Amino acid sequence: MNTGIRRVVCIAMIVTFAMTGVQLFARGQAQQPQPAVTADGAAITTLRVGALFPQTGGMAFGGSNALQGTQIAVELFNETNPYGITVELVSADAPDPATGTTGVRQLITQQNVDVVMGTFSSAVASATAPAAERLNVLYVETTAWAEGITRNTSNVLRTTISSGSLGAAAADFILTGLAQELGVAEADIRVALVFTDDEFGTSIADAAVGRIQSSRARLVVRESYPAATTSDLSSVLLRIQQERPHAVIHIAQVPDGVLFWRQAQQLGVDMPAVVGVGGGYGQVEFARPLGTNADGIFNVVPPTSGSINVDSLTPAAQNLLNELQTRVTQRGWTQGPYTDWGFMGAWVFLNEIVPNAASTSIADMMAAAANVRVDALDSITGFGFEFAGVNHENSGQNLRAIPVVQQWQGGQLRVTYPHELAVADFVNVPLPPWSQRTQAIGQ
Amino acid sequence: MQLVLQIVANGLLIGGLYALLAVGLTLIFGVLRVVNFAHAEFMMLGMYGAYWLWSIYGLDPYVSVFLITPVVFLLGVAVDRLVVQRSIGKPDVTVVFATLGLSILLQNAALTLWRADIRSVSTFATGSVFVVGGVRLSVAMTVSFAAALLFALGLWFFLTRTMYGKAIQAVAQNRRAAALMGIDVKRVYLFTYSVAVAAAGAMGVLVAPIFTIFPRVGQTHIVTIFVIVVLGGLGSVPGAVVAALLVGIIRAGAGFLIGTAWGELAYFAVFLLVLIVRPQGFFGRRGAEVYGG
Repeated sequence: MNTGIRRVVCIAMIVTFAMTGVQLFARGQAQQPQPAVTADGAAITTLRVGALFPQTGGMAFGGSNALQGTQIAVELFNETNPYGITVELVSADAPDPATGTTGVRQLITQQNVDVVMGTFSSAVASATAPAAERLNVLYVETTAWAEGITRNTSNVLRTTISSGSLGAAAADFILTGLAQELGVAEADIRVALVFTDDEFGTSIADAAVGRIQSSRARLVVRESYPAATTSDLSSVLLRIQQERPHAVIHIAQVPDGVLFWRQAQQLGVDMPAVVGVGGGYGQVEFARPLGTNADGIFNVVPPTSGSINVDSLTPAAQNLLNELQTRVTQRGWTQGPYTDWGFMGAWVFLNEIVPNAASTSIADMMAAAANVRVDALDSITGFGFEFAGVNHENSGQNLRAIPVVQQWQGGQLRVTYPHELAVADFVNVPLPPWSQRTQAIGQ
Repeated sequence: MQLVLQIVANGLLIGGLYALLAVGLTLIFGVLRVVNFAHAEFMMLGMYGAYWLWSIYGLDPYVSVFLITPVVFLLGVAVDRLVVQRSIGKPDVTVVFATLGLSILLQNAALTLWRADIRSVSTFATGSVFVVGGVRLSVAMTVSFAAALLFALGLWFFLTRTMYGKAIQAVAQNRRAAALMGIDVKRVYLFTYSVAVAAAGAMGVLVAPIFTIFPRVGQTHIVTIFVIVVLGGLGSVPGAVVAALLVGIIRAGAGFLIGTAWGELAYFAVFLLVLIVRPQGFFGRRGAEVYGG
């Protein structure tokens, strides 16, 4: 490198460091909580919220849904404005961890947001939540499930479920409700576990393995694969065919979920029960190409307005849901599960935490969150809100976010387990073998 | 034994899908000396074409392939004129960024036009299988496999048995000498690039009943395809086919024996081994990556 270029590079580096330093200093100054009590008693008058979701790339579909839910929650809050607080929403794209980390830094240091809300992707959240922590900003996770997001962090409030509870719930269901339905004793049940090898998939899988290994059941297949580059799942299906498990837990996104089933049919791999966990099995895009062959496939998921009996919700929650649905329809958007979770997470944060916080500091927000108690029937998603305290191993986790087991029935997802929350009985348990199916996938 | 045959059959069929993409990519590299990072995006466009013609007009992909392939060919003509030929002869980094930029442009154009929704095409072929000697073969995969082999054979015949094919080979060997012999090099580039991306588009249509469709679907395959092209020998059409089938079998075999996650590792291990022993790949010439005149 010649001297001139070296000098230019040195100057550029010094300028970059200097600018970063100035920004961080300015941020530190701005970070000092400045409570200003409103007429309604709220300490915060204006709140800038950074919305960090994937809007491009492979996760854009779910990420956009979550962002849309967040936007509507903020819009509704500002219109009703019950506490004299104005919320300003600034969004940034987070298609991958690196871009997300840049996005969170820009939101905090350049856009001066008081809180970051995200993220849809566990892989992205695992990078962006610590980035926000380093800049002393609260991170509200409404839609990503990886267990690690609320572990060893002090700045995360998660309104949705954790993957640990999902994996454990899937295994629990197999060992109890499903085993009973199949007429198999726990000691005899064989389980196969197939999962994507990312943070999201492995964290669910680890919890499921822990639960299975603490029982008398046997884990006969444990296979992971890279979701982003997988174009063939025949080898894992042939292993399932050899081991003949009673139930398969499949942690998947939509493309690999559909591929799994299309190849299962091609290879004639019969599985008595398949329990999907994660985003893929809960999407219409998963069930549609499978046609009636989707009937009987399970999905473990936090409940949504689409899967519960909404008539049982309180009138206030029903009105909220109607408002969300109207606005989604007006804009030509699609209301998916992530719309619900993004909306309700943001709504609870804005209505239950922000008005009761002394300032926007993490400590004050966490203190306000510790007092939140929202009943399941007051929530459009069907699960309530109560956040784990700072001494909990998952501090900031919503302890009332409990998964349910849904089943695809006639193109609809219906809650079938636990029985006290079920809106439908089981169908196709065990799943009919391919030789008895009248409609092939795709016909 | 039947299990082994099933694994080999699965590997061969998936290898056939890779082959159709890899043959076009290696052809572009062999003739134009351009690493076409946007190659898999033409497959994605073919998949979307198949989806729209199927969902709006009910056209089966095996019919629409004859409509979509010429359209992708014409798109290839436009891209070659506007992007590729303008970057040839410039520093290597210019060519890399031109095709990489094109890849990102096409992905985001698809995202803007058709959103990130995951779509799928379901035809009679999607769930259909036929059984040969106890081995179950997917109709859709077998059709794609046959198309890949036919394309590779046809291309090999064209390159070795026709005057224009020989002109393309001459350009691949030394573009300046070929120009001096009266060959219209730019036209050869145009034809080669367009045929190669049209093959990628055709593959997209043919695999539409198998894979789901979304803007980044091409990225699912592109790393594997690059490995295949280098493994087979840069610029070698037979090499690309052999390497594609081999990668398919290794992936399926290792995936079954030691785990799906290891399948990818296994073919990368073979890839590194071959590069150490035979850096030019199976059928490649030493120095093929160097600009020939």
